[in-house]
Amino acid sequence: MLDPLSVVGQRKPLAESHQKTIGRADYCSTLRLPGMLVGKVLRSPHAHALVTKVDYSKAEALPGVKAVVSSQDVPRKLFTWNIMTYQLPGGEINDMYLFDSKVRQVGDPVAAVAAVDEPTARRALDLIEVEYEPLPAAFTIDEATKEGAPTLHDFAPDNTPVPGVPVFCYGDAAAAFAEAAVTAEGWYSTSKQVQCGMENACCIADYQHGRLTVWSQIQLPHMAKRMLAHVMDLPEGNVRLIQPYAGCGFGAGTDLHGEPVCCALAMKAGAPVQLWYTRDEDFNNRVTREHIAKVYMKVGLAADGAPKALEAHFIGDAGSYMCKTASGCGVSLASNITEYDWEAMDQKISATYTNHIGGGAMRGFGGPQSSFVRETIVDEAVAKLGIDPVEWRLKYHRRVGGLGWFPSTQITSVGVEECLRVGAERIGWKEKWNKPQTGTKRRGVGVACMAWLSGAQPMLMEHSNATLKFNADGSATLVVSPGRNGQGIEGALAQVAAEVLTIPYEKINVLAGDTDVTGFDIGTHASRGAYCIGKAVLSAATKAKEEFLQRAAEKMEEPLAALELRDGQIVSTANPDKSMSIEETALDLIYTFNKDCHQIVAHATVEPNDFAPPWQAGFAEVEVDTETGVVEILKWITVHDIGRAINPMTVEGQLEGSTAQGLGFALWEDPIISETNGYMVTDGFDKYKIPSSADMPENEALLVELGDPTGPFGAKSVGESGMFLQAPAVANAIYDAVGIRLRDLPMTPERVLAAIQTKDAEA
Amino acid sequence: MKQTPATFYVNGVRRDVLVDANALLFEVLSDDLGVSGVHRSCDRGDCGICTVLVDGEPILSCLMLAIEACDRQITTVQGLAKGSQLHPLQRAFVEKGAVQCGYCTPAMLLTAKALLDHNPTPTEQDVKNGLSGTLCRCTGYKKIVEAVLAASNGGE
Repeated sequence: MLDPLSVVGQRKPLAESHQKTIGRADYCSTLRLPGMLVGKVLRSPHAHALVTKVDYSKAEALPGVKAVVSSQDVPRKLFTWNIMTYQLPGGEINDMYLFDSKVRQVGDPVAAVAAVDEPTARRALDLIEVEYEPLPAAFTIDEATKEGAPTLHDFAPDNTPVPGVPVFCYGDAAAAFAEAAVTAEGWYSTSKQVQCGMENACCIADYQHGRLTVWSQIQLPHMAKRMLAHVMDLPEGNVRLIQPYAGCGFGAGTDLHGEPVCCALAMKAGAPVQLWYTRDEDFNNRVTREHIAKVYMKVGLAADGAPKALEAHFIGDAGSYMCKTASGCGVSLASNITEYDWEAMDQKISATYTNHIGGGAMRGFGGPQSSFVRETIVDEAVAKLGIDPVEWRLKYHRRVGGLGWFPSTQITSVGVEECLRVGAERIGWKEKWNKPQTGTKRRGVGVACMAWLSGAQPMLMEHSNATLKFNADGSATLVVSPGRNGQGIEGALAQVAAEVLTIPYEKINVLAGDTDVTGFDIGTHASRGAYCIGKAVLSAATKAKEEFLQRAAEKMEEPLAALELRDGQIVSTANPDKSMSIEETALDLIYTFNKDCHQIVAHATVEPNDFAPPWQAGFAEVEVDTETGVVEILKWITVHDIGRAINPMTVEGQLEGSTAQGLGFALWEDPIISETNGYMVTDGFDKYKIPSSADMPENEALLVELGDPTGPFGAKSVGESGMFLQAPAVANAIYDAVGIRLRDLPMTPERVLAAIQTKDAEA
Repeated sequence: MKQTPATFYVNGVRRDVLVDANALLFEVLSDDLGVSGVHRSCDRGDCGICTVLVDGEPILSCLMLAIEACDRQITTVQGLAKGSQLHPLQRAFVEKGAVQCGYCTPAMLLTAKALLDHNPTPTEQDVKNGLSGTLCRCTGYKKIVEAVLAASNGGE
């Protein structure tokens, strides 16, 4: 158990929840600027074609149209929506041009208009004359890699710029497999899940006096600013990125969407332009989850269960532009390393272009896919040895000091054993597991585990800044730059600052969301906020505290070493009658008449090195209907090793929301890409099923708090981890209930029933 | 487009405005009347995000023509609080952690209000069923259901 703290650890309402419940929170889609125009995009009806002519003169002449843009109106700049390209020294694959002369998917932008209202903008789109020279297209990896397949990008003639690249291999896998008592292997498929924030993609741009201001849902504002400056050929200092609250995210905000088009419109129109995607546009023109379409995996265990070797190949279906597919496969591979102590690992990744919407990032970024495959295949191998899967996981996870997800990293804390014990007790593992069932409704329980990260350092540059600016009453403004998706980060950072300064939480006012004001920050991705930005806040608050003590030492005429800060009072240990409060000191610093005015503005920069893995165990109890294949979740339990929960209520909120997304990934969410034109047919909530309140089973999110030596007050991450384990634990519970191994997601009734029938036929 | 003079009672205030005959209620509320907190999402009745109350009943403002709401009482999320005093449902949403991105929050609050107006003491299952027409991608609904139950249980 950790020692309790005073502000860190308290359940605090989301800092902005009052604004959000009274309808006063601004989003990109709700902002109405004076004179604002409506933007609309003309999109390609072809999956693959050369654009031979664009004539928008008739559209320009339509009354109410203020700007029309196409390739001739924008600089020709190679770029990518994937602004995380700036986090790697060599960058990532840049393969886009705005309004390119070749379209690579249905929906690729060809031109765009800005008009006084939506009906006028739509009419104007109809007046743009475009001629295409259609090209053959490839909609699946198999089509794109066969002999004679059409080439999407000239730099990758075979469509596979990442062709089975081995990454982070160690040991002699062949020798280790030869010594294994049991093996399990198979091919798996996972779905191209869609983030589905309830606010559609939306942005606003305005260009005045040579400065471009963009209102965006982005989670990585400073890198977005840099990319938009590059695409529009402006000095970076002339671009300002404002983040209203985002009604979406889950990784969708780590890639750009309509921003470059919107900027081009605003710069030509000389007026603010709002570009809002309809929901079907959102499904088809905003990059989805990194699609690790196929995974091959093989594992070998010794007779006592000891992990011998793991071999894997993660194969990404990149879609029309690479964005994050290759890096998603890489992270899937890397996240597969931390959990178990394999003697040898031999893993590789591939990524292939196809003519449909590409893959960006969604919560977990490769982790849910590798967890599904690893945790089900391990279950299969462990079952061959007759070992209890909970006992096996308790024994063979990696330990503190062990190998982390990236070479040279070390594991700094491990709470997985507590997670497993708490969860097994709660689900009733001993009473329920491995109890053969009869009848048409059969129950089973399943378990899965994972280890993740608290930021993508050291692979990616994870630079954060925090500034604390003190007022004369001892309160402070905390200036930080995370994503603003309602995840609770701003309040959590205020709790960290208040804890260090021993002042009330209410005295820290957080300012975020404007790159003209905030210091540089990578932003929100890879579950980094509380850990990486938290470390910057901890450091800035510690510097501020030192400055307060220094000033008080001068005023109290006491040696600095004798002073302590307790409950907002600076007291002298040598002379207990002497004290000065933070308020008194702050007032003296700002309103003093001795020519020694000095406002405390404490700033800190951090670039963390450790990855501080959170660990987790997930337990499912299911009931499988053997006549229909329907899987009912009776109970779900997440037990999460958080290190220390800065705000337990928002931590639970992250885990509970992840449970819904994880169950969707496991059972319901089934995007369908047309194999005749690459269009995502499931382009609305009537066809793409995300969970409603009525779909949610009984579920719990429990925390294990043992602290991490590198985290702010021991904290590790929570943002993504909660959705890794539903698919594997449910799959393992289905096996426990009816004895089938499912290798494809989502586990629809059709797939479950087919597997039951195959098993019955074999029996 | 033919414009029609129309009268709406928005959060108790009479508003007279010219509306296009084919204008949807959410367009008139958010664009013509400048009411904040009416959110747009699917435009076709799948998600519930644009829900407002018309004569106390939850309706999808993306599927109702504005002229259908003429002379009727429209309640948006801005009509719930009395000045700076939050409605018990709003207070419960804040205190129970039922808000994350907040984009569904106005619709959830209004749907919950109509639910509690009809059934002041719902069971957990009643609440889950009653809210199932409004989608939320953030919370997993658990804390939303808890908040509605807390507001129903002596919260008022």
